[in-house]
Amino acid sequence: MTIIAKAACCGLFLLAAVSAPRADDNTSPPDSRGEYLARAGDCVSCHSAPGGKAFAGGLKMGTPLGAIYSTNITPDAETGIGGYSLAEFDRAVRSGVAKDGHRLYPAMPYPSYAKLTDADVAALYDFFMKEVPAVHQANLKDEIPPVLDMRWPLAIWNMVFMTNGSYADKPGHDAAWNRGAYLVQGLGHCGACHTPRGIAWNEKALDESSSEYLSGAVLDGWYAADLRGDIRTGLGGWSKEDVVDFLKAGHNRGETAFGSMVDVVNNSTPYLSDADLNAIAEYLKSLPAASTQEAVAYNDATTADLHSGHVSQPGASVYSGTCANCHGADGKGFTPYIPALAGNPIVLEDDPSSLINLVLNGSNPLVVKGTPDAYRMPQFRLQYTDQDIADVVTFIRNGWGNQAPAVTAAQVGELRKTTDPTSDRVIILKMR
Amino acid sequence: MITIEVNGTSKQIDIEPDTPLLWVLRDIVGLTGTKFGCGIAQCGACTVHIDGKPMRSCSVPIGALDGKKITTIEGLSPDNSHPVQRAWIAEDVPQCGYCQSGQIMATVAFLKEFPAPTDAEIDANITNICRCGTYERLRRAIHRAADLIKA
Amino acid sequence: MHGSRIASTLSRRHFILTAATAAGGFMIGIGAAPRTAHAATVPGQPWNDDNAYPPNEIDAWIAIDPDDSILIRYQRSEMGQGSMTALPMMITEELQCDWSKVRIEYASPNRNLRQNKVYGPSMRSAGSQTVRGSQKLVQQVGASARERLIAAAAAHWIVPAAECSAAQSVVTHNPSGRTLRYSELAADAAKIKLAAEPAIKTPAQFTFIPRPMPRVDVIHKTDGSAKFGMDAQVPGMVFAAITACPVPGGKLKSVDDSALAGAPGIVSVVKLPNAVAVVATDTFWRAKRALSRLHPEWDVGAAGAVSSEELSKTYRAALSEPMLTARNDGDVDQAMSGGAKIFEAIYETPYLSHSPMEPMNATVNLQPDRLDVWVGTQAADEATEAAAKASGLKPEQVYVHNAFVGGGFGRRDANDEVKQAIAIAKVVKRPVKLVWTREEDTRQDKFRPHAVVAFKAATGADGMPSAWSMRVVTSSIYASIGRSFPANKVEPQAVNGLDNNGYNVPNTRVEAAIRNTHLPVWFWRAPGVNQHIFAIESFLDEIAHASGLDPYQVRRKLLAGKPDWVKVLDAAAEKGDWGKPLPPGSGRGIAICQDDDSLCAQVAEVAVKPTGEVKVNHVTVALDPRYMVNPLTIAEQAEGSVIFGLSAALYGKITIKDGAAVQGNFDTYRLVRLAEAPKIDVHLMPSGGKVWGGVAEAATPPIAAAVANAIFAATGKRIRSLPISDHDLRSGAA
Ligand code: FES
Ligand code: FES
Repeated sequence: MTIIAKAACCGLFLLAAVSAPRADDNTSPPDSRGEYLARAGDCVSCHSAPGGKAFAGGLKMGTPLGAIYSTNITPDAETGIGGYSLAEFDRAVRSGVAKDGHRLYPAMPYPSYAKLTDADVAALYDFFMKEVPAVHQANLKDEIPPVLDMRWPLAIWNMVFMTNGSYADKPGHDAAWNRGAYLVQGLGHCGACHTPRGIAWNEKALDESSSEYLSGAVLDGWYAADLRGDIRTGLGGWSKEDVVDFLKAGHNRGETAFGSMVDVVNNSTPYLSDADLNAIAEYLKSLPAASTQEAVAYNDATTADLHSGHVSQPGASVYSGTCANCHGADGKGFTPYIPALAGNPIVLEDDPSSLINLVLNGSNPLVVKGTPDAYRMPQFRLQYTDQDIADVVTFIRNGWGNQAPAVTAAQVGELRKTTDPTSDRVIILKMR
Repeated sequence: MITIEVNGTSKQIDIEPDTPLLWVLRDIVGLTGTKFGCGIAQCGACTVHIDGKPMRSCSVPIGALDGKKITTIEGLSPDNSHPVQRAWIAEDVPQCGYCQSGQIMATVAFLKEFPAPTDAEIDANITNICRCGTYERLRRAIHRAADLIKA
Repeated sequence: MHGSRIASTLSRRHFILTAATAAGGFMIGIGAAPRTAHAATVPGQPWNDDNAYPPNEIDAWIAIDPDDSILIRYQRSEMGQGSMTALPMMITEELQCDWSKVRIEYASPNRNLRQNKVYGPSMRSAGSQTVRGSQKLVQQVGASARERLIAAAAAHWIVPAAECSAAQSVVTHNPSGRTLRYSELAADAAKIKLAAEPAIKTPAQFTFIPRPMPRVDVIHKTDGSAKFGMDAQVPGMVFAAITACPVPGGKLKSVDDSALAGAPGIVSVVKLPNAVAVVATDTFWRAKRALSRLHPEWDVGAAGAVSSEELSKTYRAALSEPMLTARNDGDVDQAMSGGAKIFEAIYETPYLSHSPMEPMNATVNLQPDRLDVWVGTQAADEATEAAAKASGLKPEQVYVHNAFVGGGFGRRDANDEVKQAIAIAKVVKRPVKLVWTREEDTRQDKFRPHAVVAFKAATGADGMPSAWSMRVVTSSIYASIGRSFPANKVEPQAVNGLDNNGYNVPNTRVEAAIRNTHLPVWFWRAPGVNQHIFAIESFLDEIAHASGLDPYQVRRKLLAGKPDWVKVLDAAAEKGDWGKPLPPGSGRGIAICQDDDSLCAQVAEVAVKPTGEVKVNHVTVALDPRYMVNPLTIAEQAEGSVIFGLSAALYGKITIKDGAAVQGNFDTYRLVRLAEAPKIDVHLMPSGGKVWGGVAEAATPPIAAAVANAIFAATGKRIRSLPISDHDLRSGAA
């Protein structure tokens, strides 16, 4: 995975809806405020390697410059952050400057963490210092060529792109909205994936003041969805409950998390309180549509064609021979377990990356509080050619009333080269 | 409580809604003709008809099936007389036989949509795996079944 | 069409004539079940649950009912190979009974044990031994029953037995024309001891076989009534799902099962030394879902670092280390010295899983003094012993009810699933059905070994190989199954297909070095041959092309003096249109092998698209099984063997990462589907001789080489490792 999708792993990927239940309420209280905040920030997804010790770092992340490794943030004095004072910890988290003065790559989403309150930084410090067991594990050296390894340009990068200072409540909005804004812009660092980036890999916007904020972006072969009010490709069709259910269970009325969002659901959002989830929902639902779109009207002509067995589109045969086995000839799936494709925001998105990626590589298992999903998207990169996949994806994007640009074999071929297949293996990252 | 009709008999099913139809059929209803091969809709051994349409029952949650009509291999005919079964017997298709319930159920539904199928249409729509490799006879049996149905 | 024509008119003479046609072939490829055949029957549940011995038994094998229906017991396994039809046909041949009145059921391994191996030294179906390894035994069973029935009739009429004959379940006193039905004679015949066992028929005396006969199990396999181990239903049964350490040899370190506290319908969590199982009351799914909520920690040791890349490096490095010699003819080094033209190439084949369609499973009911096991196994007698060991009961207290087997291919004779199920039953103290998920089935498999072969050959002025040496590095199947073998000898399947290759190359040396890993390896369809034939038949193809010779003619020359080999090779070449023109981008490849005393040659016709996709359009199979019982099921086995080998050739690969198999389900372990299946024509050409050949495996080995050689003919690209899908065959690609 590249620096962006993994390090700032928070692609909120959705699949569209039909009908379904509310996830039940969160009962288990967080062990401590600091741990709760660490969950909200999803620190573990990057600072723990699968099979490794909690927060001992060592996770490899590809970047355009070369591979880097997440660091040991356990309280081990020699190899971790045991020697950090609260002030030094604060400087790393909110300003991206390590104890020894070297600047962190923005793989660490400090531009977002900059918005944390002093109290929350202190609580996080307590958690990492007092509750996380120290692990003696030296950090791995980054594999970025010396020439490019100069960190001083980051100082300028920071000057240009960072807005310093904790989040301040916005007047005219209620407490819940402000709490939601704080979580989404700060610890949640949702924009790291869902906000388009500029030429310097900077997020084009860090809050709702810009219509680019959370308007969706491509990262590492996935399209992180538009989280604004757009009716076809965004959250326009979602209720607040849908948002809460999704973050809590990885599903809602039919959408299912996949791609990088699987890491987020597996390690972060289900651990948040209902109050915070509702706050996040209130804030996200307040973001106006970035474009004018018309809702998709379901059209069952495609279903009838598939059943009559006489569809001319090249992708139809792959669909009926394979996809229809779970998603149905009617494109409605079996929600909430198996997502619908008809009227599905990711299907309708102009950028087909996520759809192609899912078909090529499948999806890693969603694991909500230790329980893996009952159903999982398998991979098809071995069974189907680039042309087959281009055809079937194009078919899906234009069936049942869907309308989205056709996909070429070349687009599929490119993603086949740059992405890896998923595994059915369940990976649990422990926090302690 | 979910109500489904299996081979014409109504069944009340009280179980977690994410349970796949396959396990309801095999372990609750006790119909073992529908087989488990992969559990991820790849092999087709679990193919049944839901309201007449072929589905892979390992990947269909029972919670989504209230009021649906299910047909399994046991419900195809009382005496092996369905044209597809007759074609299978005439061509001596099965080897180990484990995949064949699914192959037959897939073919029955397929021939409703393609009464006179070409080989290309067969290739595209009969995607069930047969590890024993009975494909040579399977293809012949599908054509033979199409003829039997026409006759 | 041919099939039914043959079936309806087949007499031995006709058959011999057909077999002796110029083509030397006996076309059974399109054989439909003959209308004229009245099939014998088998119940959907092939095992006899109560092990009762009916009163009208003539012996442990045969019982004759008053209505003349005849029960014949089948002592091996039916996993698709059709021998549950073939062996009773052989008994019918000798017994001279009415096939349409034959009923078949599995023989009881428990009775075999109690009655001092009455069903023979082995009940196992493996090594293509089921028919050829039972042929004398079951012929004797049929012959002696026939003679006892005749003797009973003779005694009844007070005439010499010599004046009587038997046919279609009736004994006739020839001079007087009096007749008695077998059913009328059964009780007396049961008491008769023959002074001497009658001689069994020679193949020349057969009148009933060979005969294309629909398989007896086909009815139940088309209506869902065939009972597999997976389908066992025992009153009070609970359901178990299991996950074993993904790294073979690893141990369970710890598992926190608090997540399941109070979970509905969970009977218990069973911790085994290398696995965790969850047992649920009502469905396998409940057990599987609950199991997925446990996240066991494993102790994998050093094996946890092993990867395929590293294994491949180790094996290739070992190629230059000392080896044991399996065969050494002439003087290879001498022949290679001097000006001789030298060819060298290294071939590599990966680990493979068996992946039978029916995932491994076993159902057991363990009581203080009796253990019942319902399972589809390739070796019911060995399962009985294993179950006794695992349970602590005496073998006589163990009742293994063998079921229809949903594919074996060598995997189902280890009985490890049976031992697991018993270990779980000991804890839950209830009848329990253990089912492996597909992922477990792949990752708990015992793989087809990974092998590397280094070839070196010298050719003479005529371009023909005058010397070749083959050096193999692979792992030991014997070590995996715990069979001891002299350390100074090369175990057979390590070089099978190489040391016994059919070619007359005056200087031949075959050597091997065993390098075992933590990964268990096992017999897989045509052990050894299945990978070494790919290597040697491809390498020979390289030499032929490099020498500007026709690969078919090169083989023909090297097989001079072996008419049976040449006949099979010629048949494949002729029927496979060898040498006929093909469109650009297409090619034909040829290969031949011997396996289990059968000979098989194949010609594959392959098209390679500019995008690199390979489509195998047509495969022509010439198979000499030496003798035949049921040509219909033999042809089916040949077709199936080709597809089985083709999946391995095109896609088959188990990749090892962190000591464990990466592949789990069919999305990562691809198998050939209908769309990829070529047209297959099978030509059966039994040549007779001293031994019977096996028919379930011989057609698997040649296909990989035939396809790879066809790809070379089509593209000029030489495939030296499998699977083919790992190679970039796009036009223009290096
Ligand atoms: S078991 Fe359902 S498709 Fe394989
Ligand atoms: S007949 Fe054995 S898997 Fe198809």
